Amino acid sequence: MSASNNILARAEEIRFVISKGHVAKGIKRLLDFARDFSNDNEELNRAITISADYNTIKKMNDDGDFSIDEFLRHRRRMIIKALELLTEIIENQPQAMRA
Amino acid sequence: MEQPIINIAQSLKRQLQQNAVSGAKALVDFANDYAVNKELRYEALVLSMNFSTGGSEAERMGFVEEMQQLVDKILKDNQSMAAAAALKAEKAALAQLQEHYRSIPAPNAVVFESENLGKSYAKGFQLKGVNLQLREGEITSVVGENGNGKTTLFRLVAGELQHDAGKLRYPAIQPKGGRIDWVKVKAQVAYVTQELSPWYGSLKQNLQFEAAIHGIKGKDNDREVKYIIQRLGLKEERHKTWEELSGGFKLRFALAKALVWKPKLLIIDEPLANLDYKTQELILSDLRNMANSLRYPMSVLISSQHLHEIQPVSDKVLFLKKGSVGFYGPQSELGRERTYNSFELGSELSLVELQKKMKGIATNKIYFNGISYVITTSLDLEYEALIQQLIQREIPFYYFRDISKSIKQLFG
Repeated sequence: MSASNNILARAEEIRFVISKGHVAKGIKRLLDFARDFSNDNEELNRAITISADYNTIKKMNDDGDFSIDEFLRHRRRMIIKALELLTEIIENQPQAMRA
Repeated sequence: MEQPIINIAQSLKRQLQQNAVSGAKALVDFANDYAVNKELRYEALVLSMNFSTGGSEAERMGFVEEMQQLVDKILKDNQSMAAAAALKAEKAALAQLQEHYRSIPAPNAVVFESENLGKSYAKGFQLKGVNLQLREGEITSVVGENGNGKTTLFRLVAGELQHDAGKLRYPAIQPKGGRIDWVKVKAQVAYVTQELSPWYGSLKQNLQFEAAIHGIKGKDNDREVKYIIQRLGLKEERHKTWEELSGGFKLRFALAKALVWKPKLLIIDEPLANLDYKTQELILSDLRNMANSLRYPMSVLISSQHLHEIQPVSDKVLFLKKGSVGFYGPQSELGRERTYNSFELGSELSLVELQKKMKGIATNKIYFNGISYVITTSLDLEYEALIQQLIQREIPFYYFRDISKSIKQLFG
């Protein structure tokens, strides 16, 4: 586990976990990341929405409401949203913009 | 000298052909290093994930092809002077950001400490000599069999029981010291007891109420409740009542109720008893990550009868036997003083057959404990080496466990 103040290692950990297919775990870590590093509640709210949406599609898939292709398409969309938010949280850090 | 990107791209394409598993990982790194367009980086990660989780051989081959095409797209994206400058600026910004956060120390304040803490009961049981220090970001495990003082200690730390020996302090909550202000302390200490109390209403209503009585109101209340529901995986259960939940979810709900108001100290008494392994792992991993928060760090004090259940997530371990401290320190130091290693082995072989087959392996003793064989070895012979020897010698076994650091071995 990365040190709590190692922002880049924590971001990398989320990407790594997702790349291994552990999307739910990656999104949980995104919630932690947003809580620790977001500058406003808007980013945390977005992380909460991504988590809720991912859980919904996962549940629908478990209930057999999706074909495999549909699930993969929805999952891809959620992963992209999660990665976009991760990037935005990093880029919105005031310290990052000074370089 | 740095290799030209075209060479790296060609080598990556070859790697994807020859060893797609390592190639998929390398593609993500390549995209992060050279793609200016962030969508290409996301695409690399999604493809790598699809490949890792892909089903049939044909599907995986299809992903390899897509990954190779992505290498070309990244190459094209990188071919401009502007691209090089953009990547350079991004790297510099990230380095500065990293430096900024690394200059902020990771949370480590002392939340609780005690000196020779003790409590005596009229019936004769006595908890004594507990010197404990709990820090933000740390998990401290209290291990011991039933009736050895774990719950007494927890109640003392939570302020539910009056101590009659020693001293206790809550430096991160009451920095000036002096007489303990229990209202202030209890507003920062969450105690999840072993026996969970039933509640009325839905899980979500209870969380809203719990946050509100700790001063979290309005939009903040809504957000904190939604956050903890998502964080602990309770979305499907949020409208359920006590009777509708299984034991595992009741515990997760009790945790949510404790964590929704962000305490500085979480005390949780034997949460893992009666939970399946997967749920145990999930809860411990959530606790580990949430304790380690940069913005809302907390200290966790957790108990179990079984060291192996909680050792992997523990920073420190305190072992209690008959009310006295048998060990207290970093979990890595547990068992350091031992003079031999011990392993349990389940095998259909008779003792004589096993001893014969193991001749030549540096074992001290092999005996049957009524359930399985116990093998003791010198400290030089560790888990991996012994299991390798068993496999090499084709010794049949259905169970193998390293018990060198088990409570029974260490504390009798």
